[in-house]
Amino acid sequence: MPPLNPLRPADEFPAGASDPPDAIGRRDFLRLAGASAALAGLSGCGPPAKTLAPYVVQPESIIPGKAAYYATAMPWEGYARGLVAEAHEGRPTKLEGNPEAAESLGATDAQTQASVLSLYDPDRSRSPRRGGFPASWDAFEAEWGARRQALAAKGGAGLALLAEPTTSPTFRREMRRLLERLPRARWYQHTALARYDRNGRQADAAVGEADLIFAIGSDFLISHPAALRYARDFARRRRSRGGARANRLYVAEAALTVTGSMADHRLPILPGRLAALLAAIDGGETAGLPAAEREFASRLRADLARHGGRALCLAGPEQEGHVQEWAAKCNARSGSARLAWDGPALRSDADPGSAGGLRELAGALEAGEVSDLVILGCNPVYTGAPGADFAERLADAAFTVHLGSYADETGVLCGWHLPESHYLEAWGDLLGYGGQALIQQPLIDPLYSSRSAAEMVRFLADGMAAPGYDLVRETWRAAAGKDFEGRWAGWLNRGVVDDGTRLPAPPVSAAGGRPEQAAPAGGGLTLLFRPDPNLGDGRWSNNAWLQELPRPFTTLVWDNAACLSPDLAGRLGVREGDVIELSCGGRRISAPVALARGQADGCVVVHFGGGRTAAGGVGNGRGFDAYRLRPGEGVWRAEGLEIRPTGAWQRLVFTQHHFAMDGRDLARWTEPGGRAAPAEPDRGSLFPPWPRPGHAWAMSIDLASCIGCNACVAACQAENNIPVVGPEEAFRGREMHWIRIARYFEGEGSGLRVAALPLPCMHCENAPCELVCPVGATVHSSEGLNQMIYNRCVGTRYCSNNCPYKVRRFNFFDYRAPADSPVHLQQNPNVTVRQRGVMEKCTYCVQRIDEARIAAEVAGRALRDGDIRTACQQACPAEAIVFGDLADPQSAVSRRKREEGDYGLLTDLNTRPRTTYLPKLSNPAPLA
Amino acid sequence: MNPASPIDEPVYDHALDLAGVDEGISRVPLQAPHKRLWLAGFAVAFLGVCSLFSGVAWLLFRGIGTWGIDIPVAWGFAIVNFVWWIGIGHAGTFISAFLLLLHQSWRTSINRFTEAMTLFAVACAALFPLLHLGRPQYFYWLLPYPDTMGLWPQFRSPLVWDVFAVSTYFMVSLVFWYAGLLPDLATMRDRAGPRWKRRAYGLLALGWRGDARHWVHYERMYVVLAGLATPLVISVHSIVGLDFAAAQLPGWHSTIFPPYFVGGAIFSGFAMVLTLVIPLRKVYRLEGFITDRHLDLMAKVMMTTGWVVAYGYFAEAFTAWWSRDQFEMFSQTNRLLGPYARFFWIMLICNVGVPQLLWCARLRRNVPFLFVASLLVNLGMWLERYVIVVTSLHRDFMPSSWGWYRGTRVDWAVFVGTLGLFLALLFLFVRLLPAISMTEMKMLVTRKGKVQ
Amino acid sequence: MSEPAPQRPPPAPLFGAGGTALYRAALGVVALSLLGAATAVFAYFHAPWWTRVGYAEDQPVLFSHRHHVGELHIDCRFCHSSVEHSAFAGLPPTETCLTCHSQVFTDTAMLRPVVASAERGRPLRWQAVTRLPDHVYFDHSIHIAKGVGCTTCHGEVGQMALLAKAERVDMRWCVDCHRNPARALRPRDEVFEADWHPPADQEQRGRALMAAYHINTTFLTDCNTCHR
Repeated sequence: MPPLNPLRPADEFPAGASDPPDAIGRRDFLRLAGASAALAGLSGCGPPAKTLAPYVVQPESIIPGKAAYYATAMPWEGYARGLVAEAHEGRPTKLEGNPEAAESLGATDAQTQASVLSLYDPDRSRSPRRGGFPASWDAFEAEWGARRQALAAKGGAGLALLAEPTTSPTFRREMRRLLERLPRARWYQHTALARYDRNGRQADAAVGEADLIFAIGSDFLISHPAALRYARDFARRRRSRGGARANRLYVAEAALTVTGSMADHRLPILPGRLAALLAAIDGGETAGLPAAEREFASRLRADLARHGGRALCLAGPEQEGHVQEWAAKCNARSGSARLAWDGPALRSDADPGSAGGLRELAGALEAGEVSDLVILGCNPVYTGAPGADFAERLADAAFTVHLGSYADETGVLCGWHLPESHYLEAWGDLLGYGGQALIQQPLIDPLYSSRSAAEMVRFLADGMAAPGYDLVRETWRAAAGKDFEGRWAGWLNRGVVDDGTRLPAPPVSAAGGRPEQAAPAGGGLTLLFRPDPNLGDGRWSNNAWLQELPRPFTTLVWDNAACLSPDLAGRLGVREGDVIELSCGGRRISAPVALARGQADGCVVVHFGGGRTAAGGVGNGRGFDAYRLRPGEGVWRAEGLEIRPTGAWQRLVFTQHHFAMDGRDLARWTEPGGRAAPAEPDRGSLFPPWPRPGHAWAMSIDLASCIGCNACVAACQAENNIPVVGPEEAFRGREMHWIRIARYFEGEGSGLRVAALPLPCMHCENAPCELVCPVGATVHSSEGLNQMIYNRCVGTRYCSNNCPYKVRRFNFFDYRAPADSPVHLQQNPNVTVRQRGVMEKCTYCVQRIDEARIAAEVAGRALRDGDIRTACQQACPAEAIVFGDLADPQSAVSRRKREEGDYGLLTDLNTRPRTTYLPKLSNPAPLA
Repeated sequence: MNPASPIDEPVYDHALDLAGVDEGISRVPLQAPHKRLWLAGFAVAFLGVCSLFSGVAWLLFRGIGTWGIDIPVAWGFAIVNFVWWIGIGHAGTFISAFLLLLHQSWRTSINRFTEAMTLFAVACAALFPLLHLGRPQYFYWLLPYPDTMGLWPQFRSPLVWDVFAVSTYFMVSLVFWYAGLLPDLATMRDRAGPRWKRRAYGLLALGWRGDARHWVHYERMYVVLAGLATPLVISVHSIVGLDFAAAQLPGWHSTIFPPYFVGGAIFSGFAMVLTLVIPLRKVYRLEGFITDRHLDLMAKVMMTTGWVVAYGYFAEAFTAWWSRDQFEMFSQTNRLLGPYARFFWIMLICNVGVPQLLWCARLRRNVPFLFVASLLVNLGMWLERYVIVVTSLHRDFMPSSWGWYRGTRVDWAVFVGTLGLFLALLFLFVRLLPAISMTEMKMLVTRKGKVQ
Repeated sequence: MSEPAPQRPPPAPLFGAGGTALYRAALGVVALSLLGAATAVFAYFHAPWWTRVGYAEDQPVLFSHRHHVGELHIDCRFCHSSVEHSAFAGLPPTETCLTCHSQVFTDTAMLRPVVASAERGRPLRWQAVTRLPDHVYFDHSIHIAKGVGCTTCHGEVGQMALLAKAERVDMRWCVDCHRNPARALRPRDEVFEADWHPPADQEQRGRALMAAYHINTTFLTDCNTCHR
């Protein structure tokens, strides 16, 4: 392992690339969870490694010890998330949003933050496999060469390719190119996730323009290709207690979502009842509706009338056709064309070249029309609905190839498994939801012998490999016309194609409407399928950061569960953790119960991503596989669910156990122009005031804009080398997140109020922790930071006992990864990796403060407001977190703290927290 | 015997003469009666020591995580045991120093034994502050020494005060105990059989010949040491109490803690003395020296200090209620009704209920009852510390961070281990040294002789 | 057993003549040895063989700073190129050596490892001379920018045939300077002078420079200045 400390340059042959360590054994879970722990010995007090290995020929792009930043893009459900990746000596360590990219605007989400860990996942497949045995690309190329001859002879008949829908122009160009070469080959597409196009159109909206938003089962603030943009626009309308511009959000949904938690009027409602509700909103005759629905409908109807032209209706992609139609009509009727429009379908769900989905492919296989099947980057054996029983169908093809980052459920069943490059290893291009093109630029050579999907398609077509770099440039050279090289350099620099260069719009067919939902069968409960908030469709199941990231609202980690409303659970007589058998349409599966507040009675929500068998050491066997219940591809709802308690009990791990504030003044609410609580009086102190010669670092968190999406938690984990502890330790209450989001609930049903309260270290000016540390391992800096000095800590844990906010975390065990794990390459060399037995906590990203300060002083200028952004602040899509210098009255944070309603937590204790909050905004409609 | 009033009841059997004293006491270590019984007892205790070593070995190998502690309950068994053992230690110094200065002649026949108990209890207690560190290898950073970092301990932290308080207490107790032993060691030297034994005792006796100068120095030193030790009885547990009171945690942050901890310490100390003395005097036929009157008096002290403790509980609850502070009030109700309420109520029965029975003189003379009562009080006092540490921590200010606590196997192994260590040391002490101060007993006898 | 304790005649003396003196001596020895042990430990960790001050490590190449710096007056930054821009001063890549040594001394035995490195593309593996623990975040660029010269910490490298550690580099040594940097500060153009010696009025100059460089010592002694 070369040292990753900036004081010493890494070996120019990054370990893990040159000699990949053996796959981590299944023996010891911590070693695997260590998939996110740290460089052994970094925090130890012993003498450090002694050897310095300079480059032989130093790349001029690299200054040893200095981070380099490159613009790139990450595929999210086939669409682009524009990123800026930070690299140390050639190792990507941290991802930030690319401010140039219209769909990320400098922000990120939790999955994006965690995706860098997957690059170094020890369980990634490292070499081609033939029938399960290690093989080589040469062997595959030879074998394919022969088969290609045969296929080419009959125009490609019998060749089927299965890929996930993507916006990548290069991939789709390569695919069409292949179909030209082998006209009778078939291109099938499969995704377990939602489709964002209908009849060749793709709905987009200007959320920031709308005064009134009605979201029908739409979690547009977090689970949407444009979520970051939507969240930014939405939050801006609620900042500083809304003012006059405060928007109003109505949400009708079955299960509580992040979007629902921001609603001013929220109605928990079964999908089956939506039609009636929408009719009532149209027609106004609310008779026969339950009270809650009636009130919601009439209130919304009045409000819609009031906001003609400024009202926006969003239907979630999981909603049935009629809901989509209604939303479109509603927008049209209220003349909101400026707010909501239908763009071209960018993702290739409806590409005319494609021959359908998994069902069609299964059919073709069964009919024996497919001799050669190539699966590109997706995992149909796992994500396919059991109706297609794809696993058996695979046997119908003589020659099956799987290209994927993992030898997953599909990979182990295919004749050939080939490693696919991580997106940080491969050249590519993607389109944002709004249509902006981004160049996906690799930061590191493939760690293992892997290829990207585009490279693979080119090879399949021609029988000889071409580097992705050339493929992408081919695509864009055609588009750029003259001065390609100049433009290309600019695109790479900014990460986006922003100089008006346009590709010919990809052809779309109006066909491919969404599959019909299961007809509501009488009786029984409603079963709703959703992608897991963290694990998506299961592609992140082996990512320890996402496994240990508390699910919003339940704070469940490491497992998925069948979510029931507390009332329903009560009626069924089941408690949290009780294992119930869900049976629906002849399929049955047993799952533990989790209580989901704010969920409509009479429905059960199950999340994908659990029950993996070939995900890797972290994901295998966590949770249950909800796909086993899914009637078919693209089906999000099933009726006639029966539940039977099995009597068994399963331990579920939650990071929060008590969700009521018990009348304590923690999360505050306010209304636009509402009276804010009076500012607390300064209570004085027995200790002399801190000398403040220079900066005074402080943070302000606006609960009105915070949507509680967990991006900050994941960003903090990536930035600060925060280890994962695993389910056993998490159950003991030993998770390590430096910033956690406390969730509080008030009321119930349509009166439910939800508060998400992000809790970093408060950096109290009178810090109780500092008083009790016997060795002075946590002391105050002259700039008001509550410093935590790991190498001085002896681990009495007294500071944690005395911290009223309980934001301190302790290394009860050695949570670092085994010395031979590649995940060390992800570590941030500017943050000490903590040893067993030391306390740790949020530092306000002091390493960023120091670096910005040094950069400024070396350049001979003063620090400017905004030079320093903490990891949580930078990731936040809602701009809820602001960090800066309190000593500068013009700094953003000073201005925020001057706003009315700014308050600190538990200030009665006279801790004088430097982290303060602005109250959460609720903007209810005036009673008509 | 059943005298008219307990006051004129003697504190030893008047049939004893000087020789009888020496014989009666020194025969225990020298002739070692009940060898089998002693061996059996020691074997049991030694098992405990083994469990201590295995527990500590595993702890050091795997880390502090093998204990049940977590966030928010970052302190658990270790601190509970620490406070409990320190408390037990108190009775020794209280009896030997405090009562000496108060000329309580009845202390004579138990002070030697209780001082030994103090030493061993403090030894057990001192283990925990070390073991409970996340990085025990750096324990010495709590001591002020000239290091290459130019750093000192953080003297505002009660944990630093602990280091000084406990180590001082241990040193003074040790010197006090050993000094008191000198004349007896000489007696042992003269009475021991085999030459090597006499030489051994001789070396320990530091050449005590019992001439007048020795006695003058001895008397002076003994009183001076008693004077030194007395304030320590108060200071040590006050400071241990401050470990909690200095924090701002509801249920810890309370001015009553120092006095209430001292009271509780003496309470539990006397309970432990009873627990140990009752079988001791039975087995080695020391009823002549440790009479029922002693048991009676110790029972009374227990009852009194029991009231101090009871007042502590009341004061805490009352202050919380009087303050109208929502966090204080919650922490009290949580103590009474929360998930750990059962420990609180058992504690209340043991520490407040049981001592009330001691109002009854007959029960104070009922040896089996006293034995059981003392055991219950020991249990109660352990639970008291458990309640203070765990229930206060597991639910504090932020409902979102509320948690739970349960001791693990390693926790128990270490706790039981210290019990074993404590008993093993006592067994060795009884076997090798005079458990009762012959010197002081003889003084008592002669003084009585003069009176007659 | 019922063997009665011996009464009189008084037994033979337990200890021979001088036993007391011996005993006292023994007690004295015990006390002294405890004291001695403590002193020894303390001394050990301040002795050069622990602090490595004045020790030269075994290097793959017998590189002489005296020749290159002292005699040829090659600027520090020629090899340690990132010292002004990065936390890490930078070690010369093999190609840097070859800028001259592709012409001069090409086939000397001394240079063989360098040539081999260039041929086989394998990095030279130097032994660190001035090492810091990993929890210390030292940044060269800021020290250079604030006028702390190379030789202040690395010693008279211009005089060293084999580079040896010049200072203890323990925390107290760092903090001493952070408390009062005036002793070490130089005008920016003298930072890289290998044979710089503080002028007589260094204290005043230093204080003037502190003002000029805006050096704030309250911040300099914050833990987070070096520990993150």
